[in-house]
Amino acid sequence: MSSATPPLAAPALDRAAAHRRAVLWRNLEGWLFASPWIIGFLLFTLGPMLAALVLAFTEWDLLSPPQWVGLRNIQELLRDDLVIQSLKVTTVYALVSVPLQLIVGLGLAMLLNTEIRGLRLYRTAIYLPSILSGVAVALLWRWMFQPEFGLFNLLLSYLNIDGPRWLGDPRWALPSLILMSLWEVGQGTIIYLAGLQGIPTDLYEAAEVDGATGWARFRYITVPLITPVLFFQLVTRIIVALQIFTQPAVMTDGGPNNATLTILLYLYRNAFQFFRMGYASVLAWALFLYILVLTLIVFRSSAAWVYYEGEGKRG
Amino acid sequence: MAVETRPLPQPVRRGLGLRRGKQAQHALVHLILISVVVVLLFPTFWALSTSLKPLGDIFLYPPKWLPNPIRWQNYADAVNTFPFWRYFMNTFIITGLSIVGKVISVTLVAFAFARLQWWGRNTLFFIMLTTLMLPPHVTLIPQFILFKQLGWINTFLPLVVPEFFGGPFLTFLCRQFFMSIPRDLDDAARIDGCSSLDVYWRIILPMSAPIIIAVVIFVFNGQWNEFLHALIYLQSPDKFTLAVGLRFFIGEAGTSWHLLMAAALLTMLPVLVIFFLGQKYFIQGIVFTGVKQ
Amino acid sequence: MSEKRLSRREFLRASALVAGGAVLAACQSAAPTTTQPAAPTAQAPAAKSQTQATQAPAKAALSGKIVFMCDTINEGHQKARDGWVQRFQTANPGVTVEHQPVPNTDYPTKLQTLFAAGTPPDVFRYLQENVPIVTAAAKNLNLKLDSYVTRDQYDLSGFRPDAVNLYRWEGALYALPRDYGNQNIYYNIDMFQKEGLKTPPTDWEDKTWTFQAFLEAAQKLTKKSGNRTEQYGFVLNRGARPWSSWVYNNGGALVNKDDKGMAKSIALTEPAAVEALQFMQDLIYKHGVAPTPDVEKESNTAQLFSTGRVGMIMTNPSDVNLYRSVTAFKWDVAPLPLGKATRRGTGGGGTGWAIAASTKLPDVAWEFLKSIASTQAELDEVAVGATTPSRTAIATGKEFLDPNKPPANSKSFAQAQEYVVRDPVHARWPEVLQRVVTPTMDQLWGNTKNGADVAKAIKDGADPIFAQG
Repeated sequence: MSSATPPLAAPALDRAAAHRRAVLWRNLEGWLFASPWIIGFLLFTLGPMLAALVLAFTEWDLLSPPQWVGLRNIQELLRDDLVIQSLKVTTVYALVSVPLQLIVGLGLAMLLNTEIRGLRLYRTAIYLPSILSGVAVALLWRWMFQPEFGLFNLLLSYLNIDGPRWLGDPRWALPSLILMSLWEVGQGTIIYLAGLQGIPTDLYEAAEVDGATGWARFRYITVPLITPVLFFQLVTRIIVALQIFTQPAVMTDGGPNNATLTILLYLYRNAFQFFRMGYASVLAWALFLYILVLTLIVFRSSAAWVYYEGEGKRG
Repeated sequence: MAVETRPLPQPVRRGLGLRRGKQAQHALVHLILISVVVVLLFPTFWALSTSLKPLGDIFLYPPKWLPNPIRWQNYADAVNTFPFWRYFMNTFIITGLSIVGKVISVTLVAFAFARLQWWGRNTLFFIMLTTLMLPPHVTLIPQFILFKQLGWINTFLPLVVPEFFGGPFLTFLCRQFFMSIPRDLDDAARIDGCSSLDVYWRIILPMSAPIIIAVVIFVFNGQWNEFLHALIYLQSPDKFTLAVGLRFFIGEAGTSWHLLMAAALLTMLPVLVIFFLGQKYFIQGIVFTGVKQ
Repeated sequence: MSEKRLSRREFLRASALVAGGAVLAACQSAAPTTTQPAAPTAQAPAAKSQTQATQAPAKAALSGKIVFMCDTINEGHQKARDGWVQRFQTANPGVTVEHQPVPNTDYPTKLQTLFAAGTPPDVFRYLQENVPIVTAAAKNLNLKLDSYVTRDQYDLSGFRPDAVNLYRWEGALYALPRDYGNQNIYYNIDMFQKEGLKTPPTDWEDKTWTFQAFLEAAQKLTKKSGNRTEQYGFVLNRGARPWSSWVYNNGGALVNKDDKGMAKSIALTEPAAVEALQFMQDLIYKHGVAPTPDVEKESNTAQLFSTGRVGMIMTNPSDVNLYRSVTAFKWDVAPLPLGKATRRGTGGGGTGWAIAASTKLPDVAWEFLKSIASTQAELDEVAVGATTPSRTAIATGKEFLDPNKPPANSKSFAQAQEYVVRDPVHARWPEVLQRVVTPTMDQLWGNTKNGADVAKAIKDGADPIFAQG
């Protein structure tokens, strides 16, 4: 911008140079602070990602060299019924479990953000299921869902309810997995809680003095100030939910009748059981694009609803 | 910045009716929380109960809700069927190093994304998020080959070194929190001649205790239970982690349920302790941010 | 075909560019290398022992380090394997065997990653259900053992011939047998006696134990209270080997084979097979003697049986250990019921011990392979209850058919080995099974399609895949 102006006096020139140096330094500083991630990305992530991209255009059985097949995998993807089925399963799972987790998680965090006694125990109890994860838990749940002698149907029978066949019934299998996902709501609750506790208490006190009701305080103080966390939760939950794998792999094996065949499970089968790593890569990139588009939509919309106090503005 | 105790409820301002209302409200909160906790802890209760039964009692129907007699021996057996303490140490080393690496790198990177203005910031942030979107199964083999060429197979390095280079999930989390810290603090500090590093070290970090504790807990939990990479990169049994060790209870010729559950609960215990201790700082965190202005 | 095989240089350039050479190593690993003792290839330092062995096949000191990988079968098995390694190292002081155990559920993922990265273990448990023999042969994964067998005049006759033939393809041998399983009926004697039922016969040639006799027993054993079934006559199993056994016993088959023995099309649409499928569906929905088989295959059956909530189940001999701890009732085993077939059949098969074709120490690996396929090793596996032996003498011996322990009719396990029908052989069988057969069979179990429609849907889905090869 200085070059367009007529010759300047010496001090002005100095100032322009100093400004340029400051800008340069500011940019450099940003890159320096971000460099741990940038270096790690270049070293460990970018290569394998690009390899996966190249593999998408090959047929690779993991056992002999990949063969270039151009767009054939993509053409197959568009015709594959199981892609549609797995996309449907995964979408339904995400569509139901993500809002449920967001709402239940926030509700619990609100309750835990009060001044009642026994908070530490409540918090620990609610977080506990998120610690006890993995395959042992998936097996435990599978056992509890068992229709003949599982605990759920036993408990239901005390209420004279004839329980469903849970994982054995195509109509119930996916809802069962969604139900189970709610069990690990604790992780989200903790993140909300950290966010809620970042809200200055004086804001609430001021509102109380002004006579704001509980709902009004929630709506006009809590919600706006929690939006950065909500935004984070929404984005990461979508990403995690669309990549659900362990539960269907261990508990249902994608069945019955593909009712719980998620994209990642189908991808895994192609890669490691059907020896089609190339096709699996195409599936991976399709899922990538799907998540990317959803994330972009959330990001675009964030300007309208996410409020950063530090920025003093939305977006 | 002084640490204050929470402002006490002010009874002067409130009438008796209000206080009674508050009590009723608290009772309701307790009621809801207790029912939620009962539901959430049910599977864990069942795991605990199973872990204390003799094998023959596990599949009785209708089930024995409580183990009788209680078989503490299962825990000793679980610890003795696999090199529990060795795996414990391995997991501990991996997790400990990961926490150090992750906390340092993630806060630095999040600081850059949240508080500094620089060219390429938003693009890089988004690229960082995209790395979460590609399923690990397709990068697994290229990554394995990469680490093989570095000679890192059957060492902890593939599990630990990447932790020193940030990570999208927790960087994103920290960024969100850093962005909520009022900017006038930075500005004031900068006018006083503070560099960005000073701002990071003297302002942002001290104000972020709750979120840093959260990061520690998440890294601890995540690495303690991490499985896929430990499975692929660790080969000799003396290098295994607890998460890998647990899977050995599930065999082709049957699962030792009582031992599996005992081992799973034992494995969980350290994370539970860390969480129980760590959560105290969430509460302190309120006070920090509450008095900051 | 529009695809063109990527030239090596092109691919190297592309991969070096994108992945810092990541994919490159995979190509190198997969380059076919044939290591046969008759024509030892000039190899790096490790070739020393190999040359020695070829020059003096009688007794040369072996040296070097090999990796032995196996998945969890049960806890005891891992300890038994440690014992084998110890014993072998003591007998061969120059050799180090690194034993790498892998959790059962994750074994395929790990093994395939290692193969893809060009660093497979030297000796490993070979699972045909993951890597069909056709693939292992075509992709040169497993070392061909024939020349070693000839050189050492290794005696294969101790193994059940069918068990060895599982690992032969186009004349070459790709593994030694580890186990050889089959299906039997396990039944609760107390329940039979309580209903005044005659217990099933013991002999696989008995013609009275028919589908009809089985159904009548199952009906008597089923107890309902109101809507709820308190006790079932039988439990079906979603696994292909158990359900295909019904097809075999009715004179049907899963697939039609070509002259090489390779599967070429689905045979389930034949009347005998359709009838068997329908029989199974009727057990659930028409006669109400069986629950819908669960997604959790084995544990469901095991739990129902050991808690005395089902009269009969169909499963593998290696499951005996699950039930030997049962004290609440007496139980025994029996042959599978016979339908319209002239001779009984049972689904079955086994797993083997194999050497990676790319091993640098084939002689050491072979020596070790022999030791883990030995009579002693198989007895060790029997002792920890992890196997249905593949050696005839052990399968019929007292260690396996322990007369002091139930079941009384344990000779049924050994006899059943004569009736095993081999799983279909095809490079894409695992895919056909998961992509087509299992989901379609779920419709049979769920009563959304009848036997004939399920058979047709499987044929329509699977035949094109077989045709693609």
